[in-house]
Amino acid sequence: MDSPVQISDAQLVTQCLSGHEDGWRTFVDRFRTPVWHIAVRFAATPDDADELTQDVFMRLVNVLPSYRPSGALGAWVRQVATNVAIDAYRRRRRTPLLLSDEEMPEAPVPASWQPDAIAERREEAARIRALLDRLPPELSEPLILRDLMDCDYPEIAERLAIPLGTVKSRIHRARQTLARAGRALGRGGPVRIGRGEDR
Amino acid sequence: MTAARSDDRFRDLVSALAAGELKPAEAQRVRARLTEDPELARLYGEIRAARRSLDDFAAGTATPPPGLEGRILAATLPAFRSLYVRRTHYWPTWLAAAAAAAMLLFFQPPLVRGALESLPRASDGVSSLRAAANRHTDRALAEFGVLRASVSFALEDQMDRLEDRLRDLERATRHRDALLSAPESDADAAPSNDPQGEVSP
Repeated sequence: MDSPVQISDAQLVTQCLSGHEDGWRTFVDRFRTPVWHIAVRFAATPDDADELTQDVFMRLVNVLPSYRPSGALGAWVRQVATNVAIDAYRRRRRTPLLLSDEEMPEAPVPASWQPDAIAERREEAARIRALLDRLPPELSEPLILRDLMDCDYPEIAERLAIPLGTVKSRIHRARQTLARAGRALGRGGPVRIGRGEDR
Repeated sequence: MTAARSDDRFRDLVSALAAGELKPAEAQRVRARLTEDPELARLYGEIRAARRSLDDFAAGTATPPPGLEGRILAATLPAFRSLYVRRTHYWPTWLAAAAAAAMLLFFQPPLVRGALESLPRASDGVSSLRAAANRHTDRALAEFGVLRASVSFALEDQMDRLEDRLRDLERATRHRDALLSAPESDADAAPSNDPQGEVSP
Protein backbone atom coordinates (compact mmCIF):
# COMPACT_ATOMS: atom_id res chain seq x y z
CA MET A 1 0.00 0.00 0.00
CA ASP A 2 1.44 3.33 -0.99
CA SER A 3 1.24 5.72 1.87
CA PRO A 4 3.02 9.08 1.86
CA VAL A 5 3.03 9.21 5.65
CA GLN A 6 3.98 6.11 7.60
CA ILE A 7 1.51 5.66 10.39
CA SER A 8 2.72 4.73 13.85
CA ASP A 9 2.66 1.22 15.26
CA ALA A 10 -0.23 2.03 17.58
CA GLN A 11 -2.23 3.64 14.77
CA LEU A 12 -1.60 0.65 12.55
CA VAL A 13 -2.79 -1.82 15.16
CA THR A 14 -5.82 0.36 15.93
CA GLN A 15 -6.71 0.41 12.25
CA CYS A 16 -6.46 -3.36 12.08
CA LEU A 17 -8.53 -3.91 15.21
CA SER A 18 -11.15 -1.53 13.81
CA GLY A 19 -11.55 -3.83 10.83
CA HIS A 20 -9.81 -1.73 8.17
CA GLU A 21 -8.42 -4.11 5.58
CA ASP A 22 -6.02 -1.46 4.33
CA GLY A 23 -4.50 -1.45 7.80
CA TRP A 24 -3.94 -5.19 7.65
CA ARG A 25 -2.46 -4.89 4.15
CA THR A 26 -0.05 -2.27 5.48
CA PHE A 27 0.77 -4.54 8.41
CA VAL A 28 1.61 -7.43 6.08
CA ASP A 29 3.61 -5.18 3.80
CA ARG A 30 5.59 -3.76 6.71
CA PHE A 31 6.49 -7.04 8.37
CA ARG A 32 6.54 -9.70 5.66
CA THR A 33 10.30 -9.42 5.11
CA PRO A 34 11.44 -9.76 8.75
CA VAL A 35 8.96 -12.58 9.26
CA TRP A 36 10.23 -14.29 6.12
CA HIS A 37 13.81 -14.00 7.39
CA ILE A 38 12.84 -15.83 10.56
CA ALA A 39 10.77 -18.45 8.76
CA VAL A 40 13.42 -19.28 6.20
CA ARG A 41 15.97 -19.96 8.93
CA PHE A 42 13.82 -22.58 10.58
CA ALA A 43 12.07 -24.12 7.59
CA ALA A 44 13.30 -27.12 5.66
CA THR A 45 12.71 -25.67 2.22
CA PRO A 46 11.79 -22.32 0.67
CA ASP A 47 8.28 -23.64 0.09
CA ASP A 48 8.04 -24.53 3.76
CA ALA A 49 9.32 -21.06 4.65
CA ASP A 50 6.59 -19.56 2.50
CA GLU A 51 3.97 -21.61 4.29
CA LEU A 52 5.50 -20.89 7.68
CA THR A 53 5.38 -17.16 6.94
CA GLN A 54 1.66 -17.48 6.26
CA ASP A 55 1.24 -19.41 9.50
CA VAL A 56 3.00 -16.62 11.38
CA PHE A 57 0.64 -14.01 9.98
CA MET A 58 -2.33 -16.22 10.81
CA ARG A 59 -1.10 -16.29 14.39
CA LEU A 60 -0.58 -12.53 14.29
CA VAL A 61 -4.18 -12.02 13.16
CA ASN A 62 -5.38 -13.95 16.16
CA VAL A 63 -3.09 -12.46 18.79
CA LEU A 64 -3.18 -8.87 17.53
CA PRO A 65 -5.42 -7.70 20.42
CA SER A 66 -2.72 -8.82 22.86
CA TYR A 67 -0.22 -6.28 21.51
CA ARG A 68 0.49 -3.48 24.00
CA PRO A 69 1.61 -0.14 22.57
CA SER A 70 4.25 0.20 25.30
CA GLY A 71 6.53 -2.07 23.24
CA ALA A 72 7.82 -1.80 19.69
CA LEU A 73 5.51 -3.52 17.24
CA GLY A 74 8.41 -4.87 15.19
CA ALA A 75 9.97 -6.58 18.20
CA TRP A 76 6.60 -8.02 19.16
CA VAL A 77 6.05 -9.35 15.63
CA ARG A 78 9.51 -10.95 15.59
CA GLN A 79 8.85 -12.55 18.96
CA VAL A 80 5.58 -14.06 17.75
CA ALA A 81 7.24 -15.16 14.52
CA THR A 82 10.14 -16.80 16.34
CA ASN A 83 7.81 -18.68 18.64
CA VAL A 84 5.75 -19.96 15.72
CA ALA A 85 8.89 -20.87 13.78
CA ILE A 86 10.45 -22.74 16.72
CA ASP A 87 7.20 -24.64 17.29
CA ALA A 88 7.12 -25.62 13.62
CA TYR A 89 10.79 -26.53 13.72
CA ARG A 90 10.25 -28.82 16.70
CA ARG A 91 7.29 -30.50 15.03
CA ARG A 92 9.38 -31.06 11.94
CA ARG A 93 12.27 -32.41 13.95
CA ARG A 94 10.13 -34.90 15.85
CA THR A 95 10.88 -37.22 12.99
CA PRO A 96 14.22 -38.57 14.18
CA LEU A 97 16.98 -37.61 11.81
CA LEU A 98 19.83 -38.40 14.11
CA LEU A 99 21.29 -41.80 13.67
CA SER A 100 24.49 -43.19 14.99
CA ASP A 101 27.63 -42.36 13.05
CA GLU A 102 27.58 -45.78 11.46
CA GLU A 103 23.96 -45.49 10.42
CA MET A 104 24.18 -41.90 9.25
CA PRO A 105 23.74 -41.78 5.51
CA GLU A 106 25.29 -39.19 3.30
CA ALA A 107 23.52 -35.91 3.84
CA PRO A 108 21.20 -35.60 0.88
CA VAL A 109 20.20 -32.22 -0.37
CA PRO A 110 16.38 -32.16 -0.65
CA ALA A 111 15.10 -32.28 -4.19
CA SER A 112 13.54 -28.84 -3.92
CA TRP A 113 16.90 -27.56 -2.80
CA GLN A 114 18.95 -29.09 -5.60
CA PRO A 115 21.43 -26.35 -6.31
CA ASP A 116 21.84 -24.67 -9.57
CA ALA A 117 25.31 -25.45 -10.84
CA ILE A 118 25.90 -21.77 -11.41
CA ALA A 119 24.69 -20.55 -8.01
CA GLU A 120 27.33 -21.87 -5.64
CA ARG A 121 26.01 -19.79 -2.80
CA ARG A 122 22.66 -21.43 -3.12
CA GLU A 123 24.35 -24.79 -3.05
CA GLU A 124 26.17 -23.89 0.10
CA ALA A 125 22.96 -22.55 1.63
CA ALA A 126 21.26 -25.86 0.91
CA ARG A 127 24.15 -27.72 2.46
CA ILE A 128 24.20 -25.57 5.57
CA ARG A 129 20.49 -26.12 5.94
CA ALA A 130 20.98 -29.85 5.64
CA LEU A 131 23.72 -29.64 8.24
CA LEU A 132 21.55 -27.66 10.62
CA ASP A 133 18.83 -30.25 10.23
CA ARG A 134 21.23 -32.88 11.41
CA LEU A 135 22.14 -31.12 14.58
CA PRO A 136 20.06 -32.07 17.61
CA PRO A 137 17.30 -29.48 18.06
CA GLU A 138 18.68 -28.50 21.45
CA LEU A 139 21.83 -27.39 19.62
CA SER A 140 20.39 -26.13 16.36
CA GLU A 141 17.70 -23.92 17.93
CA PRO A 142 20.08 -21.70 19.93
CA LEU A 143 22.56 -21.70 17.06
CA ILE A 144 19.93 -20.47 14.59
CA LEU A 145 18.78 -17.82 17.03
CA ARG A 146 22.32 -16.64 17.69
CA ASP A 147 24.22 -16.99 14.42
CA LEU A 148 21.40 -16.60 11.92
CA MET A 149 19.09 -14.22 13.76
CA ASP A 150 21.59 -12.25 15.86
CA CYS A 151 19.61 -12.71 19.07
CA ASP A 152 21.68 -12.04 22.18
CA TYR A 153 22.29 -14.73 24.76
CA PRO A 154 19.80 -13.56 27.44
CA GLU A 155 17.09 -13.29 24.80
CA ILE A 156 17.78 -16.84 23.62
CA ALA A 157 17.72 -18.08 27.20
CA GLU A 158 14.36 -16.45 27.75
CA ARG A 159 12.91 -17.65 24.47
CA LEU A 160 14.02 -21.24 24.90
CA ALA A 161 13.46 -21.22 28.66
CA ILE A 162 16.90 -22.57 29.49
CA PRO A 163 19.65 -21.12 31.70
CA LEU A 164 22.05 -18.60 30.22
CA GLY A 165 25.08 -20.83 30.81
CA THR A 166 23.36 -23.70 29.02
CA VAL A 167 22.64 -21.43 26.08
CA LYS A 168 26.29 -20.50 25.75
CA SER A 169 27.59 -24.04 26.05
CA ARG A 170 25.04 -25.34 23.55
CA ILE A 171 25.89 -22.67 21.03
CA HIS A 172 29.62 -23.41 21.35
CA ARG A 173 28.95 -27.12 20.96
CA ALA A 174 26.78 -26.47 17.93
CA ARG A 175 29.47 -24.34 16.29
CA GLN A 176 32.13 -26.95 16.88
CA THR A 177 29.89 -29.70 15.55
CA LEU A 178 29.07 -27.66 12.52
CA ALA A 179 32.74 -26.82 12.03
CA ARG A 180 33.76 -30.46 12.01
CA ALA A 181 31.01 -31.16 9.54
CA GLY A 182 32.33 -28.27 7.51
CA ARG A 183 35.43 -30.29 6.65
CA ALA A 184 33.16 -32.40 4.51
CA LEU A 185 31.15 -29.34 3.56
CA GLY A 186 34.21 -27.59 2.20
CA ARG A 187 35.04 -30.55 0.01
CA GLY A 188 31.44 -31.04 -1.00
CA GLY A 189 31.64 -34.57 0.26
CA PRO A 190 29.36 -36.57 2.53
CA VAL A 191 28.49 -35.08 5.91
CA ARG A 192 28.23 -37.05 9.09
CA ILE A 193 27.04 -35.54 12.31
CA GLY A 194 25.91 -37.47 15.31
CA ARG A 195 25.12 -36.93 18.94
CA GLY A 196 28.19 -36.83 21.12
CA GLU A 197 30.69 -36.58 18.34
CA ASP A 198 31.38 -32.96 19.12
CA ARG A 199 33.00 -33.68 22.43
CA MET B 1 39.76 -34.43 34.29
CA THR B 2 40.87 -30.86 34.98
CA ALA B 3 42.80 -30.80 31.73
CA ALA B 4 39.74 -32.03 29.85
CA ARG B 5 37.62 -29.29 31.37
CA SER B 6 40.29 -26.78 30.46
CA ASP B 7 40.25 -28.00 26.86
CA ASP B 8 36.47 -27.69 26.77
CA ARG B 9 36.74 -24.19 28.16
CA PHE B 10 39.25 -23.25 25.49
CA ARG B 11 37.15 -24.75 22.72
CA ASP B 12 34.27 -22.57 23.88
CA LEU B 13 36.57 -19.57 23.87
CA VAL B 14 37.69 -20.43 20.34
CA SER B 15 34.05 -20.57 19.31
CA ALA B 16 33.42 -17.18 20.90
CA LEU B 17 36.54 -15.76 19.25
CA ALA B 18 35.44 -16.96 15.82
CA ALA B 19 32.06 -15.36 16.38
CA GLY B 20 33.65 -12.09 17.48
CA GLU B 21 32.15 -12.29 20.93
CA LEU B 22 35.29 -11.81 23.04
CA LYS B 23 36.61 -8.62 24.53
CA PRO B 24 39.98 -7.51 23.09
CA ALA B 25 42.10 -8.64 26.03
CA GLU B 26 40.57 -12.10 26.15
CA ALA B 27 40.68 -12.40 22.37
CA GLN B 28 44.41 -11.67 22.47
CA ARG B 29 44.94 -14.34 25.11
CA VAL B 30 43.07 -16.96 23.06
CA ARG B 31 44.94 -16.03 19.89
CA ALA B 32 48.18 -16.55 21.74
CA ARG B 33 47.02 -20.02 22.73
CA LEU B 34 46.09 -20.82 19.14
CA THR B 35 49.67 -20.26 18.02
CA GLU B 36 50.74 -22.96 20.47
CA ASP B 37 47.98 -25.51 19.77
CA PRO B 38 47.54 -26.62 16.15
CA GLU B 39 44.37 -28.60 16.98
CA LEU B 40 42.68 -25.51 18.45
CA ALA B 41 43.93 -23.43 15.52
CA ARG B 42 42.35 -25.91 13.14
CA LEU B 43 39.09 -25.81 15.07
CA TYR B 44 39.20 -22.02 14.91
CA GLY B 45 39.56 -22.12 11.12
CA GLU B 46 36.70 -24.59 10.79
CA ILE B 47 34.39 -22.53 12.95
CA ARG B 48 35.22 -19.45 10.92
CA ALA B 49 34.42 -21.34 7.74
CA ALA B 50 31.14 -22.56 9.19
CA ARG B 51 30.29 -19.01 10.23
CA ARG B 52 30.93 -17.82 6.69
CA SER B 53 28.59 -20.50 5.44
CA LEU B 54 25.93 -19.34 7.87
CA ASP B 55 26.48 -15.75 6.75
CA ASP B 56 26.13 -16.79 3.12
CA PHE B 57 23.00 -18.70 3.98
CA ALA B 58 21.56 -15.64 5.70
CA ALA B 59 22.53 -13.40 2.80
CA GLY B 60 20.91 -15.77 0.32
CA THR B 61 17.59 -15.48 2.07
CA ALA B 62 17.49 -11.71 2.32
CA THR B 63 14.77 -11.20 -0.26
CA PRO B 64 11.37 -12.82 0.14
CA PRO B 65 10.10 -14.72 -2.89
CA PRO B 66 7.85 -12.82 -5.30
CA GLY B 67 4.14 -13.00 -4.59
CA LEU B 68 4.61 -13.72 -0.91
CA GLU B 69 2.50 -10.75 0.17
CA GLY B 70 -0.42 -11.90 -1.98
CA ARG B 71 -0.22 -15.40 -0.57
CA ILE B 72 -0.15 -14.06 2.99
CA LEU B 73 -3.19 -11.86 2.34
CA ALA B 74 -5.07 -14.70 0.66
CA ALA B 75 -4.42 -16.89 3.69
CA THR B 76 -5.18 -14.31 6.36
CA LEU B 77 -7.86 -11.95 5.05
CA PRO B 78 -10.79 -14.33 5.66
CA ALA B 79 -9.73 -14.72 9.28
CA PHE B 80 -9.10 -10.99 9.57
CA ARG B 81 -12.59 -10.22 8.27
CA SER B 82 -14.30 -12.72 10.51
CA LEU B 83 -12.47 -11.37 13.56
CA TYR B 84 -12.41 -7.63 13.05
CA VAL B 85 -14.70 -6.49 10.22
CA ARG B 86 -18.15 -5.75 11.57
CA ARG B 87 -21.13 -7.11 9.64
CA THR B 88 -22.47 -3.57 9.20
CA HIS B 89 -19.87 -3.17 6.53
CA TYR B 90 -21.82 -5.60 4.44
CA TRP B 91 -25.31 -5.26 2.96
CA PRO B 92 -27.95 -5.60 5.65
CA THR B 93 -30.02 -8.74 5.40
CA TRP B 94 -33.22 -6.88 4.62
CA LEU B 95 -31.51 -5.04 1.77
CA ALA B 96 -30.26 -8.27 0.28
CA ALA B 97 -33.74 -9.78 0.60
CA ALA B 98 -35.31 -6.74 -1.06
CA ALA B 99 -32.81 -6.94 -3.90
CA ALA B 100 -33.57 -10.62 -4.37
CA ALA B 101 -37.31 -9.93 -4.41
CA ALA B 102 -36.84 -7.14 -6.93
CA MET B 103 -34.87 -9.44 -9.17
CA LEU B 104 -37.57 -12.07 -8.91
CA LEU B 105 -40.33 -9.63 -9.77
CA PHE B 106 -38.31 -8.18 -12.61
CA PHE B 107 -37.67 -11.46 -14.35
CA GLN B 108 -40.96 -13.16 -13.34
CA PRO B 109 -40.45 -16.72 -14.46
CA PRO B 110 -43.75 -18.28 -15.67
CA LEU B 111 -44.40 -20.20 -12.50
CA VAL B 112 -43.83 -17.18 -10.30
CA ARG B 113 -45.86 -15.01 -12.66
CA GLY B 114 -48.81 -17.40 -12.45
CA ALA B 115 -48.60 -17.50 -8.68
CA LEU B 116 -48.49 -13.75 -8.53
CA GLU B 117 -51.53 -13.42 -10.78
CA SER B 118 -53.50 -15.78 -8.60
CA LEU B 119 -52.93 -13.50 -5.62
CA PRO B 120 -55.20 -10.44 -4.95
CA ARG B 121 -53.81 -7.33 -6.53
CA ALA B 122 -51.91 -5.07 -4.24
CA SER B 123 -54.08 -2.03 -5.08
CA ASP B 124 -57.18 -3.96 -4.09
CA GLY B 125 -55.61 -4.81 -0.80
CA VAL B 126 -54.67 -1.20 -0.14
CA SER B 127 -58.22 0.00 -0.91
CA SER B 128 -59.81 -2.52 1.41
CA LEU B 129 -57.37 -1.59 4.13
CA ARG B 130 -58.14 2.09 3.70
CA ALA B 131 -61.90 1.44 3.83
CA ALA B 132 -61.52 -0.59 7.00
CA ALA B 133 -59.45 2.17 8.55
CA ASN B 134 -62.07 4.72 7.64
CA ARG B 135 -64.81 2.59 9.17
CA HIS B 136 -62.90 2.29 12.40
CA THR B 137 -62.19 6.00 12.46
CA ASP B 138 -65.84 6.91 11.90
CA ARG B 139 -66.97 4.57 14.62
CA ALA B 140 -64.43 5.99 17.03
CA LEU B 141 -65.49 9.54 16.24
CA ALA B 142 -69.13 8.66 16.72
CA GLU B 143 -68.48 7.03 20.05
CA PHE B 144 -66.45 10.02 21.12
CA GLY B 145 -69.29 12.33 20.13
CA VAL B 146 -71.81 10.36 22.16
CA LEU B 147 -69.52 10.43 25.14
CA ARG B 148 -68.91 14.16 24.80
CA ALA B 149 -72.65 14.82 24.53
CA SER B 150 -73.39 12.67 27.58
CA VAL B 151 -70.86 14.54 29.65
CA SER B 152 -72.22 17.85 28.44
CA PHE B 153 -75.79 16.93 29.30
CA ALA B 154 -74.79 15.74 32.75
CA LEU B 155 -72.94 18.96 33.46
CA GLU B 156 -75.85 21.13 32.32
CA ASP B 157 -78.28 19.18 34.49
CA GLN B 158 -76.01 19.57 37.47
CA MET B 159 -75.76 23.33 36.82
CA ASP B 160 -79.57 23.66 36.71
CA ARG B 161 -79.88 21.90 40.04
CA LEU B 162 -77.25 24.13 41.58
CA GLU B 163 -79.04 27.25 40.29
CA ASP B 164 -82.39 26.01 41.75
CA ARG B 165 -80.71 25.39 45.07
CA LEU B 166 -79.20 28.84 45.05
CA ARG B 167 -82.59 30.45 44.40
CA ASP B 168 -84.16 28.51 47.29
CA LEU B 169 -81.41 29.69 49.60
CA GLU B 170 -81.99 33.30 48.60
CA ARG B 171 -85.76 33.02 49.28
CA ALA B 172 -85.14 31.44 52.65
CA THR B 173 -82.74 34.21 53.57
CA ARG B 174 -85.24 36.94 52.65
CA HIS B 175 -88.01 35.19 54.60
CA ARG B 176 -85.85 34.93 57.69
CA ASP B 177 -84.87 38.60 57.48
CA ALA B 178 -88.56 39.56 57.16
CA LEU B 179 -89.51 37.55 60.23
CA LEU B 180 -86.72 39.08 62.27
CA SER B 181 -87.63 42.67 61.33
CA ALA B 182 -91.52 42.39 61.75
CA PRO B 183 -93.33 43.25 65.15
CA GLU B 184 -94.22 40.26 67.25
CA SER B 185 -98.02 41.05 67.27
CA ASP B 186 -98.26 41.44 63.54
CA ALA B 187 -96.49 38.31 63.12
CA ASP B 188 -98.87 36.43 65.42
CA ALA B 189 -102.05 38.07 64.00
CA ALA B 190 -101.46 37.84 60.31
CA PRO B 191 -99.00 35.28 59.03
CA SER B 192 -97.47 36.22 55.73
CA ASN B 193 -98.79 34.56 52.63
CA ASP B 194 -96.01 35.73 50.56
CA PRO B 195 -95.17 32.70 48.54
CA GLN B 196 -91.66 33.97 48.53
CA GLY B 197 -91.58 33.57 52.28
CA GLU B 198 -91.93 29.84 52.20
CA VAL B 199 -88.90 27.92 53.19
CA SER B 200 -88.20 25.21 50.88
CA PRO B 201 -87.39 21.97 52.45
